[in-house]
Amino acid sequence: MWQFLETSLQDATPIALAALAGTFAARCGIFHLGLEGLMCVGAFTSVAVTIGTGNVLTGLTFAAIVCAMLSVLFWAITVKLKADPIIAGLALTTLGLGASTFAQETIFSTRGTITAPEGLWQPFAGTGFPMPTLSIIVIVTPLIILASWIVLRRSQFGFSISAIGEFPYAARSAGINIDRTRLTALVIGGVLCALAGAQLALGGLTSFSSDMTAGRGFIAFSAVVLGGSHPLGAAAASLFFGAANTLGIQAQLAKWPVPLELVLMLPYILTIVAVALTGVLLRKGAVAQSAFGELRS
Amino acid sequence: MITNGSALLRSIVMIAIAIVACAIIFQLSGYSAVDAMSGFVQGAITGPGSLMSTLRWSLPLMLVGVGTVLCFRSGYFNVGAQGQLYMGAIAAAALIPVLPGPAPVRMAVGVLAAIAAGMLWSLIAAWLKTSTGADELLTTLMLNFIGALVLQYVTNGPLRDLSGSGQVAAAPPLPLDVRITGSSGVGPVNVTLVILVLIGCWFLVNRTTFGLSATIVGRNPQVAARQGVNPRSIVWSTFALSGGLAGLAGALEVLGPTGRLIQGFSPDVGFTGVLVALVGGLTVLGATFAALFFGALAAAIGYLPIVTDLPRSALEVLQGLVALLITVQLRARWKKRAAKAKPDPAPAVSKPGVSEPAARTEDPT
Repeated sequence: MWQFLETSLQDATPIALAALAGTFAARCGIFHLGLEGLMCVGAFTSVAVTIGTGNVLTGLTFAAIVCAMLSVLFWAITVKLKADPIIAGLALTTLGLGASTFAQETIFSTRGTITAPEGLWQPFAGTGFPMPTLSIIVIVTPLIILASWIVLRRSQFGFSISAIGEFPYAARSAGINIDRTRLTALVIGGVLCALAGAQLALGGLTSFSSDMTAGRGFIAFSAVVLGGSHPLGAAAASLFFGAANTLGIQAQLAKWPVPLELVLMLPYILTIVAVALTGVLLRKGAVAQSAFGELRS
Repeated sequence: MITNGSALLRSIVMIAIAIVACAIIFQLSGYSAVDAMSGFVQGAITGPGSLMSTLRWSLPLMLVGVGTVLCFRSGYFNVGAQGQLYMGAIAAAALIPVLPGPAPVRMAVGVLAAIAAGMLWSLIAAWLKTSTGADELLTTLMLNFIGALVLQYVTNGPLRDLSGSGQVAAAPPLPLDVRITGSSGVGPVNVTLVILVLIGCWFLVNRTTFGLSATIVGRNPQVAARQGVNPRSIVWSTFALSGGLAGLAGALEVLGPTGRLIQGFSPDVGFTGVLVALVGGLTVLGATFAALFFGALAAAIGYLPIVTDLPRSALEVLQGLVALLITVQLRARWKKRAAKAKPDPAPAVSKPGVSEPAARTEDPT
C-alpha cells in the first residue's frame, strides 16, 4: 500500500509540475503543447550537467536556465511573431526531443542511457518513514501547487494573467502589459518543466535516455484541460493519472485481464470526453470554428 | 497568383533560415556543416538510388499533406493523420491474412478497408465536432495517442508475430503476392495511385463547387452560411477525405516498404504532413512540392551515416526549427488579411482558388 502510494506520487509529480506550467500558459490564453519538449530538455540538461559538474544542484539550475531560455524563444515566436501557438508548441516538442537526443549523441556519443553519479536528495531515506525514496522535488511539489494556486487565484499577477486569457482587450484597457505578463507566465512554466524533467531523470533512476518523457508532457496537457485550467484541478488530474498509471503496471504484473494500453489510453479518452462535455455545456451543437489555437491580443 | 507566389517565397525563406540555423548548430557542435550539407544533397538527389528513396518518403507525405490541406483550407484543424494512418495500416494488416480469394482481390479489399478505417477514425472527431462542438484540434491530437496505443496493443497482443525474436513488437510479414511494392517503396501501382489522388484533390479544390464552398467556410463562415453552405457537411466530407487519405498512406506503408505491421512505425508522418500542408501554403500543388522536400530530408537522413557522423536526430532538430518558423509568416499574412479585409473587401476575396487559410475566428453565435 505504501509502495503503491510512493510510486503513484513519483509518477504523478513530473506530470503535475508540467501541468502547472501548462496551467500558467493556458490561463493567459496559450495552449502549451511544448511541455513535452521542455520536460525532455530539462531531464537531459539536469543529467548532463550533473555528470559534468558532479553536483545535482548545478544540474537543476542549468536545466531551469535552459528551459527558461527555450520558453523565451517560444514566447518570441508565438507572441511577438504571431506564430500559431499550437503548431509552434508541437514544434517546440519536436525541437526539444530532437535537440536533447542530438546533444546526447554529440556529447556522450550514445543513443542509449547516460547515468548521473548521484540523484536528487531523498530526505526520508533511512529515517524509517514508510516512503523512503521520495525525492525532494516530490516532497516540495505540494508546496509548489499551493504557491501556484496563490499566485494564480489570489494575487494581482494571477488576475492579470486570467484577464489576458479571458478578455485581452479589457486587460489592455486596464493597463496590463499583455506581452510581458505572458513572458513571465511562460518562463515560470519553463522552470516548472525543468523541475518536472529533473524529477523524471534524477528522482529515481538518476539517468537519462532519449525520449524518456514518453508522452508525459501531453498527459500533463490533458491534465490542464481536464482540470479546467485551474491549478488544483490540474494537480488532481495529474495525481489521478499517476495513480492510474501505477495501477496499470501493477495490473500487468498481477496478470489481470486488462491490457496495459487501455490504462495508458485513459488520460486521452478522458480529455476527449471533457472537451466534448465542455462543448455541450458551452454551445450545444454549434459547428463553431475552434478558437483554441488562436492567440488573442 | 500573386498571393500564392509570395506564400511560396516566404516558405522558402523560412526553410532557408531554418537550414542556416541548423548549419550553424551543426558547426558549433563539432560536425562539419559543409559535409552535412553535401551529404544531404547526395542522400536526397545525387547519390545512388537517392531519388528513389526521396520518392519513397515523399509518397506518404503527399497523401497525408494533401489530406491536411483539404481540412485546413476549410478552417478545421485536423491534425489526426498519424492515428488515421495507424488505423488504416492495422485494418489492412489484420484483414488481408484472413481474407479468402486471389491475391489482387485481397490486396484491393485490404486497401479499401484501410481507407475506411482511416475515415472512421477521422469521423470520430468530425462527429464530436458537429454534435458537441468539441475542438477538433484537441480531439484529433488525443486520437493520435490513442491510435498509437491501439497499434501497440495489436502488435503486442492479437497480431504479434510469435516466431520472431525481434526486439520491436510486430505482426508477421504479409505474403509477397499481396504487397503493392517491394522494400524500395516505389512501384508503378502506388505512384500512379498517388498521382491520381493529387490530380483529384487539385481538381476538387480548384474546380468544383465543393472545393469553393469548403474554402469559403474556412475564410468566412458567415458568408458561407449566407450562401447556403452547410458547415456540418463540409466538416464530415473534409474529415472523411483526409482520414481516408491517411488510411491509404498507412496501407501503402504496410503493403509496401515495411511489409508488416510494426509498433510505432513512421512516427513523424502525421506531424510532418501538417508541416507539408503549411509549407505548401495550403495548396495541393504547394503541398506536393513540400512533400518532396520533406521526403528528400527523410531520404538524406538515412544516407547521412555513410558520409558523416551526424546523428539521425539532426533531422528532428531541422524539422522542429522549420515547424517553429513556418507559421510565423502565415500568422503575419492572416493578420494583414484581417486588417485589409475590413476597409475594402473587394480585392481580398477575388481569388478564392489561391487563398490563404482564414484566421481561427470564434463563431459569432
